Amino acid sequence: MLGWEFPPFKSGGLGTYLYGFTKSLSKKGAKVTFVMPSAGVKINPGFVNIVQTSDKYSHLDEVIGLDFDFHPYVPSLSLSSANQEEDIESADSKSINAYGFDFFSKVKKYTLSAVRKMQSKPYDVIHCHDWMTFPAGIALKRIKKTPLVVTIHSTEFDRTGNLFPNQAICRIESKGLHKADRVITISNYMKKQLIERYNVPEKKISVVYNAIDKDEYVIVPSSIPLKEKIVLFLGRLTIQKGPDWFLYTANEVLKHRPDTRFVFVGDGDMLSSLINKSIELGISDKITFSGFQDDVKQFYSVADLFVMPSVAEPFGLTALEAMASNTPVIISKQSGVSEVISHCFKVDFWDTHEMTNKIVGILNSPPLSNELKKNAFTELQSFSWDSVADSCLQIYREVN
Amino acid sequence: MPVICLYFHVHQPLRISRYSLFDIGKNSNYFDDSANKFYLERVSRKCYLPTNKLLLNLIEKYGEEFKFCFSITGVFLEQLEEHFPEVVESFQKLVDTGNVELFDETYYHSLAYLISKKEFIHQVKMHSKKFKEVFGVKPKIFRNTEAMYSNEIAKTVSEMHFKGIVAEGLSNVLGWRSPNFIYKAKDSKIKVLLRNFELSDDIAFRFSSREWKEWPLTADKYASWLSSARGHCINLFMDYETFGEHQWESTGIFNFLKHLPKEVLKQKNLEFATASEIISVFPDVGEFDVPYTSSWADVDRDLSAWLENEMQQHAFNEIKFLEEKILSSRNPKLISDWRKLQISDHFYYMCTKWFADGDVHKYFNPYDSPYESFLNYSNVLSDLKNRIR
Repeated sequence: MLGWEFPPFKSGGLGTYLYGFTKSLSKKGAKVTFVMPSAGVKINPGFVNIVQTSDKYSHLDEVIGLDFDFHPYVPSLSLSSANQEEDIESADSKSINAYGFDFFSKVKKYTLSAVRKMQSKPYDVIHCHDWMTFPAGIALKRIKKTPLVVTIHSTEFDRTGNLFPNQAICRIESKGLHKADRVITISNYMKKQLIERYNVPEKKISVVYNAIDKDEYVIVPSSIPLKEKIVLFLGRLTIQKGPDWFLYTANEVLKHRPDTRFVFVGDGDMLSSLINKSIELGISDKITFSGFQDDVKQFYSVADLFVMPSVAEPFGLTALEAMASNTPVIISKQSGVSEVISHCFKVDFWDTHEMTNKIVGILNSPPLSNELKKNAFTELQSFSWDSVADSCLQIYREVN
Repeated sequence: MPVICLYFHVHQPLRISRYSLFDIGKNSNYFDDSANKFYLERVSRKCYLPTNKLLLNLIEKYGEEFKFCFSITGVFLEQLEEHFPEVVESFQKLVDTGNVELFDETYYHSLAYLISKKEFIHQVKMHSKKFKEVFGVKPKIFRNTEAMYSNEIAKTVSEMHFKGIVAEGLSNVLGWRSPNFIYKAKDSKIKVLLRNFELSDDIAFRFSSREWKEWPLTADKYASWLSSARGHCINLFMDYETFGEHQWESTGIFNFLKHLPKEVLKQKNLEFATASEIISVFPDVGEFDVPYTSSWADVDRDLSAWLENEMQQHAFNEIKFLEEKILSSRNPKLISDWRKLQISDHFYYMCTKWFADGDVHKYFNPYDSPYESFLNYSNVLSDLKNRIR
């Protein structure tokens, strides 16, 4: 299993995913070796063997593991792609300097050191998650003649809100998708994208929806009676996640419910523009920017409502996390999760009027909020890691 | 020798427009005329017109030997008169033959009995008045919305001089007894006509189901089942939309109906009768005792399709508690809107039971989810409440 993040070194949903997924795989008897660019701290949750890919660069990797100043999910908008040729080896130093850190060379290091560590060991399947691990997966497949399965959690198009996808990354994604024996995606929404944009043959793609361990989420009965209603946004502050749409909606909602607080949990390149915009709208006293948080559970649990206004969302695990925390959910129709959940509201991300209608409706009506919570919690039963593991084990058998 | 009582229920709700927070205080047109017209046209074309024509032909062919019953809601007739008067005429033609008995009900296909007895009586009288106008008929049999029934409802209906009332042939009430007899309501004189749900649902639900071991159901096979049934009367009660809308033409439902009279009359021990004929001929064999409110809906046969979850109960109670304020406003448009908002379908759309399973509830639901439906309704209610002040 090749990944880029793993708890506690995680910055987004992928780490959570890989944790739940590998835990269930190993419970079902699969032996999982996990490859990640880890730091000096020994991580061993007890059910996966972790190969740390870059002992030699432990100083650098420690930075990656702990702070993630380099983040593969940050949109690569300002990265010049002109010189980013097909291969990682040719990563161009100019573009790297422009961004202030060494983007592609880390992927290169990951690739080289993963290949070195793994080439002599026997594996039945190599399973890669997202583009950073694809070069390593492709190389290992070639050297070891081992079947390659790749899971696409998000594409470069999603991460950039379709605006300026980095061509070099797109090429790596495309190469991985075409070299893989099987491709797993996390929604039909994503599957369609892979067929249309990457020309992946439809029969090679399987959809395996994300899961959630709902017992991990605490439902805290609010001990302090809050004077304000809390509406939560949780995700990176990037175009893809639609925080700007959330802010415009907040402005509308406040006209009807001035007693509402809008909380943004997450960091990203839009932070300063969002702050400026909230000042401009005159609602900055009703907005809280909490920054990136390690423990998001309490945010979910204290919120009266969770909104996921993503412009493009291959899945949207946060919606399930909010549901597990007994918080009603509004999601954008442009999300993979909207294919599989029923007990929520679904709105077009750009439709701030309808979004306002629904937010105010939920805040005004305890019966509506209660029914959403109750039925959504029940609905979560069908999203187990065991069923994700079962689907993937079936795919492993098919490629062997 | 059992007699066969065919009874069809005809209704189309008034669908509410998309009504958002931003409409409150600005727009008091709650009902979606174009959607209502669209559905009305579709169901008329697929069901009402062809089925009425077929039934008229059958009456012409079999004369006195073929008869059946209808109930038709006031809100439905009102819509037809506005958009498709030719469909009203086709119903009138059927009633004019004298072979069709009409049942009364609440004008708005509402849960009015749960609002108040006074409101219930008012809506039944409105319906009687409408029938008098349109068909020139005064019904003797009553059918409450979705066959909602309790001892108390039966008693109220009896006091309004109805001779018979429709109810579901509830197994838990009947116990070892058969629905194929006439019973007397507890605490009143009114006769109870019980729906034989097995035989009714063979047509209404199972007819086109290929997993059903009896598929395909033919008229002669069905008539042989009727013939071998025991009791005085077999009450086959179903939605009229069964013909052509719930069961599409391609399932062969029209052919089935076309051959049914012939096959039934072939059986020496069978004949058709109207509900009034049945209660005047057969004595009641026992008492039907339902202390709670039952219905013919879903597997639960109770009110849970309309009033189970918090949203449904909240919305219904809001409407209920407005009664006095609305009526004392003496504003006819306001009162009429309030009554139209009582149409049971509005609450049915908010049902969360089996919502995710995509069953019959979903098929007839114009909303994406029960939550959408509730929110829309709540916004309308907010506007309605504003108008009282």
